[in-house]
Amino acid sequence: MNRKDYLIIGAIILGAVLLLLIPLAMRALQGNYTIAGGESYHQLWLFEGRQGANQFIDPMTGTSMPINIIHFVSSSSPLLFIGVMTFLGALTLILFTLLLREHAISTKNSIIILLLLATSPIFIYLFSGITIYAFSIVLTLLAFLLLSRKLTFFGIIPLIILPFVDFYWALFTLLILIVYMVGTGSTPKSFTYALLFLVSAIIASFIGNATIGHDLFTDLVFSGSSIITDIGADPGFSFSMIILSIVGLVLLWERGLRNVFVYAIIGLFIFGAFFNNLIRIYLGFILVIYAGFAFSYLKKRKWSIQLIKKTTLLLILCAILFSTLFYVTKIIRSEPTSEFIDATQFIATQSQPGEVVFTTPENAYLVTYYTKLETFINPVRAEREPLRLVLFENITVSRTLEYTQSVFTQNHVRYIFIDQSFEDYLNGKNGLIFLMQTSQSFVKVYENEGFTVWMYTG
Amino acid sequence: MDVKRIQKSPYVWLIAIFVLVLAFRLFMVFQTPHFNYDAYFTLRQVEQIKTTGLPLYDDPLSYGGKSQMFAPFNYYLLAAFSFMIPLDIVAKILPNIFASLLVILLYFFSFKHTKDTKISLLIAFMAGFIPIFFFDINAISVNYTAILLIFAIIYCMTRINEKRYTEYTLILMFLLVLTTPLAFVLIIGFLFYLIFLKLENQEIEIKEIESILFFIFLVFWVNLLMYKQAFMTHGLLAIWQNIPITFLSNIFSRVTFFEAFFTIGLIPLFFGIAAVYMAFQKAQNKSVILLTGFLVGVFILVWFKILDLITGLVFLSVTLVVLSAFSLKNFTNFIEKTKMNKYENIILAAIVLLCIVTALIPSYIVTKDRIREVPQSQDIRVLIMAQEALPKNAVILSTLEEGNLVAYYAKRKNVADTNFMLIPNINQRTNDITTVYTTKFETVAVGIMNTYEAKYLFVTKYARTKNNIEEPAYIGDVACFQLPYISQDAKLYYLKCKIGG
Repeated sequence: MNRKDYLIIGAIILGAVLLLLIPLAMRALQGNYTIAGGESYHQLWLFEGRQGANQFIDPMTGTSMPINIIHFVSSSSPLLFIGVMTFLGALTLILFTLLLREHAISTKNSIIILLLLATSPIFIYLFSGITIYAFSIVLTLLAFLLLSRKLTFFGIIPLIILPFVDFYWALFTLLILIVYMVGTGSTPKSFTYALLFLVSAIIASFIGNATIGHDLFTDLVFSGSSIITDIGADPGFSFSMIILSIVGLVLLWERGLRNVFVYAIIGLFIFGAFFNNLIRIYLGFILVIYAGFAFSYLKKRKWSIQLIKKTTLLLILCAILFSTLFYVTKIIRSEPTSEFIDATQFIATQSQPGEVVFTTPENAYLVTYYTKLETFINPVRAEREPLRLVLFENITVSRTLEYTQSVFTQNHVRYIFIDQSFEDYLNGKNGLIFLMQTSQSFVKVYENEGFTVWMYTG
Repeated sequence: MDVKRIQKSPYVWLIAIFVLVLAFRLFMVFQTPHFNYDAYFTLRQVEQIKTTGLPLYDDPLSYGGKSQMFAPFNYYLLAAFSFMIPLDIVAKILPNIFASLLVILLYFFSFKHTKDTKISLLIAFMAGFIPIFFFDINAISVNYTAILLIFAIIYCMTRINEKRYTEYTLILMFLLVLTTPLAFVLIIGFLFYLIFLKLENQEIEIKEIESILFFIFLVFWVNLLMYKQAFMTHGLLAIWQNIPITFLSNIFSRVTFFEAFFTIGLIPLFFGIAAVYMAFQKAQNKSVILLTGFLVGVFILVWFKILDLITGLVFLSVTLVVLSAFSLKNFTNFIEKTKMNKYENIILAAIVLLCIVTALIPSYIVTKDRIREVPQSQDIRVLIMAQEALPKNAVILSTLEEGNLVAYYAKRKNVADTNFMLIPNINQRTNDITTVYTTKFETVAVGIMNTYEAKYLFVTKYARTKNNIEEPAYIGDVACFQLPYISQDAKLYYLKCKIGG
């Protein structure tokens, strides 16, 4: 690697840092000084609230939480977290570059892979907001790098920590470790020790979670969703990355049982990515390597017609750029907007503790963060209690006042918070809207720029 | 050049077939001054392009106002020609010229691979009279341009190693992507082609791989740009175009299993399938494998109802016609080796005769049926009256099929039409429209019309037949429904009542 290569890699990392800060900067320019996305607020709340006696109960959703040592770092400053996340993003890119170098991947290929990673929606998702996966990926990359450099002791430490940050991430890391060992065909002692320590840590974490009464099986939720960012997946892959990865997988295919095993595991990951965010994020870091190889191959190979080469590469670059811009724009436009905050703060000013807000699972974290009230449904409960989600959907379409009244009274629902995302659940004006407009039991107490708050008076 | 030489020239015969096909199409299409219902959306778009230079992507009338998503090339093409010839004439002629051009394309396709003028002329004739290809004869259908482009691409792909054909392929690919999302069908076809080549241990040309890769990126990216909003709203389900369940089942029940055979044409079906069999068993011809890949791709897309049945059958039939060239060549080669070689011309004449019976006659029947499926003159008269008299923001409730007609002639908002993309709760909306026509209860009908803010109800012969009614049951209540606009049996009722108000 020469000076020029270092400069290029440095520029990519700097560019990635700027890219991560763009959503925040653009929102600030629009007068919105908040972090985007509900998940960040959930994490903020956990960092603030997981202290004291009920440290294994999610204060936002009221559900049990697994052991997570990162949450014991107490802080409530969103700005500090953004700084930490951006640093982790840059660190991830550095670790990834070093890891590629450690595996004798050429500098040119490494640069392309790094560029694809830095502009991938998954990378932006991980490091532009506050997610716990960001910590997990850094620990994993650090462990692999140190183990590759035969620094066994230092490499094992992150692996021991990993199950106490995210149990399932650690489990998938174990799988990847096995695949790595089978794939490379060598079992160096450092990796064997790492494997043993990781298994021990996973068992310890399992026992620890059982001790605090948390059922780990409730955390692994599979539900079908889109995986392509360009059509709305969050997080997901850009379509160009998918095609490039397929090309890469085809190009790097070698005959042999070992390779079949590696490809079978990747196939399983791809299948799992349709149903689980964690797998999707993990897969993003694997596929980017194949995609990088494919792009590099397409760039280097001698095409029969230069025009097709230039146009195809241009199309790929445009598609990558489009996906990145599209995803960044999506983050910039996402809630909370100042109108959203205004509406939720209106509820906060006039509500009593113990009252419940009826809104979509997507809004739940933000509504709770700003109103300090629980919501009828939230993403965790929607995953763990499917019947509650069904109940929520029934209420949105029901025209039977008695039914709606009984559910609202039993669950202490006092406010109904309606925004654009809620419109998708509502059956036009035929369900809950009809009841609210025609019954004396509901009063519209707030309306502004697409946000409406109704009060249930019983 | 003497007359005999002209008669012997295959191009004279080819032009004669082209003229015959075009004349037949134009004769049929000009039997009515009107178009099929969906065509009125195209007319609106073309008129908008002529006025502003841009298509109507933000449609203020469809569903009371919605975004439209489509590839614009075909509309621009029609708009360009309509500067020279009136639009209603261009809209009748141009799509049918494209449909007829298939005759010439398939002649060259066949000749390239068989080097036999007689067979190629026979293929050209068969291509001109595929019964299902007449289904959209009066619908200003983009499918004619799309099919011509798709088969031109396939043709160029078979000659990709020849000079300039790569450039032609690229240009055609660009045009196809800007014309229709049906380009995805070709991608599926190409993928099956590559799989079949691999299975047959055939060499895959580098140029083919490069072109296909380029095409995949082009199609995905351009379509993502064009249909981004649809994918954001409906997710991957957008490939089913948000078509309501009742409408979807109607699309797939329009042709029965046996009708499908006849609409494809028995001769292409027989010889086409024979070509596929021979290609894989004996000759391993790459062009046949390419066409077979496309055939399998189309079949799978129709099976999963991603491609509508009519379009699917058109693709299948055109592919089978091209494939027929290969088996007809084998057939004539076989005959030449037997004692029947003196009767070769008679056998070919017999096949032509069979084609006339099994293709020309069904083509005429299909065309005659489709020509009848146009709005009545009185429907249009009522809508023109409405355009002059109704308030600008008035909403007219009509059947789904008549929605585009309402927007085109009355220039007023409709409750629904056949562009379903981006509409939430589409099944409920379509059911509501049916209920308005069929319910016995005035309160139900008024309630639904209030929900969609519709003040006018359009009742036509088509709406009566579709909903199996004489007249909406509640319509006699003059206190609630006035009849200000009428022309024979086309009526536009004005709703005076409001539920709860």
